[in-house]
Amino acid sequence: MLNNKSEIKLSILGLRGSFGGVLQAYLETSQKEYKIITADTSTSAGLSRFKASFPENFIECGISEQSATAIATGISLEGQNVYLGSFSPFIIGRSWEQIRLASYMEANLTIFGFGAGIGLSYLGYTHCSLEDCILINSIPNTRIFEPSIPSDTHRALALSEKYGGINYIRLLGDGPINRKIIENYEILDSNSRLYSYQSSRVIICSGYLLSRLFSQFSESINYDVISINQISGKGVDYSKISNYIDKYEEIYCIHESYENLIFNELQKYNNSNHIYNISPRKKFTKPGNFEYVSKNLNFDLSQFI
Amino acid sequence: MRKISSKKFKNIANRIRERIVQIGLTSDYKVVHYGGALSIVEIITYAYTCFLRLNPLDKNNIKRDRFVLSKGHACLAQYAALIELGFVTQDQIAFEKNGSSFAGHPVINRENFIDFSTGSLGNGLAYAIGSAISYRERRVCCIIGDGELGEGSIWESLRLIIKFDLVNLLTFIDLNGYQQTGNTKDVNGDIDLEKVLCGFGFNVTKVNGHNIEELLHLNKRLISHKKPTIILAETIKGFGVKAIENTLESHHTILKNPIEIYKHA
Repeated sequence: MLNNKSEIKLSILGLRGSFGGVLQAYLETSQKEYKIITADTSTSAGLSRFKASFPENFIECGISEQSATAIATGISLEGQNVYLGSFSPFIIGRSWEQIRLASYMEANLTIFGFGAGIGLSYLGYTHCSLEDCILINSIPNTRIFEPSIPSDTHRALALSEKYGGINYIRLLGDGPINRKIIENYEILDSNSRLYSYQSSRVIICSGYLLSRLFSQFSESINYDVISINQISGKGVDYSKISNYIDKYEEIYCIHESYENLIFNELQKYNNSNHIYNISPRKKFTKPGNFEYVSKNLNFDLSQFI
Repeated sequence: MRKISSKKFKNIANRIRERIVQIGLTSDYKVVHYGGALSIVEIITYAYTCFLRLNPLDKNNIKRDRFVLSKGHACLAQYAALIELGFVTQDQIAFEKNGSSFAGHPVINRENFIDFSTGSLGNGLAYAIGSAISYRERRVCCIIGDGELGEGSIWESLRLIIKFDLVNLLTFIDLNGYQQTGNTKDVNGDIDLEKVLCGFGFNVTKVNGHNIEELLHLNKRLISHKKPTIILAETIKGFGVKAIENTLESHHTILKNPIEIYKHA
């Protein structure tokens, strides 16, 4: 676990920038041999210091996501832990078949994809990734994590090693984490946190959306908020959340993905007709910042101010 | 490298070729990938008897040498070699039968010395890199097809073999000249592979992939080179089975009686 001081320090870097620091903290306690594999992105996820300190454990494949994924599979099947990462649309979109075959061979891959969602939509739609959850979720023996704070990332790494298989750590957004979400919460269960404001309405969400929501909330917050770390896949359990949310009059599941996996998973446990699906419309838009593109995708978070 | 007499090599290759046909005929589907299996018989014999240091008792050793048949549709050659060399028994090979580990493309089963699942072309070489890089004392042999060179991931991997200086990985390219829809030069284009691969930085050696003396001579060449090696093996698709030899149809075909098989004399 990360201590509070480390959490605050890393949160300034954002989820993507803090990934290297969280991984280093995690690996300091791990006993197993490991390799970190990237596709020309070692400087993009806070891994530069790590690369300089442990060059023998670092494999830079260059811009070749498919081979990087298949090489990672080969190394995993020789018994080492593998952490494979690049920008989400490329490491998931381009390497989907290699990930599928890794799962087929029962390799254990921890894949970190940054720039997921529409956080990089100002770069154009080539750098957006709203299909990645559907792609990963379509493969057997996979899990998707969407950390909101660095200790979520840490826990995702621990669960990935514990359970094996294909674990996708989906890193949304590229700004600092809102300080409010690393304070003043209750642990609802091992996978979720509750930010309670005594409201009759609740938002359930994951990843950097939590920071975005709290950044736009005014002083008086009109929703309770539940954050989820592992959103789908093998071993995910929404039962406690499902029981807890029965008291709310309105339940909003927000997911930055064409397919709202949070909504889909929750519906397996709770058939309330007060659960609403808030996710982007399936279409391409002109580039712009998060606010511009999300509005064009009917995914406007300002409705929750 | 391990030494083996030319006579012994010939006998093993002959029996592997016979077994390919025997196993293929047990398929319920009748249509079998014979051509690409028959073209690599001598290459696979070299890989298992000279290059790789495998022992049937060593199956669960995570550090043992690895064989990757990237052109997975030629799996009959691998299955036949594994029987011939005592790694599995003939009874284990339930070829293309329900629930069998020996499907129409290799399915990973390290107890049976099938080291990776292949068949989706273009991936095996990267698996081989993963094995070779994870333990550099290990030897890894990978066979890819000439048609498979159309996959971009092969070229990614070739670059990375050089970048990571994987001298423990031996790659064969089976130049049998055909792929599913036609002559490989027509489908993929006619490139000077030797020149291109030398340009990458490989130690490139050309051999007649059915000539046992040339293959046995590789031992000396491999020892003397310090760079990653690629063997361009010129072969004949369907080699050894007269009715289908050097034909496009041999890629995936039905064998009809009488089946005449050549042997190395």
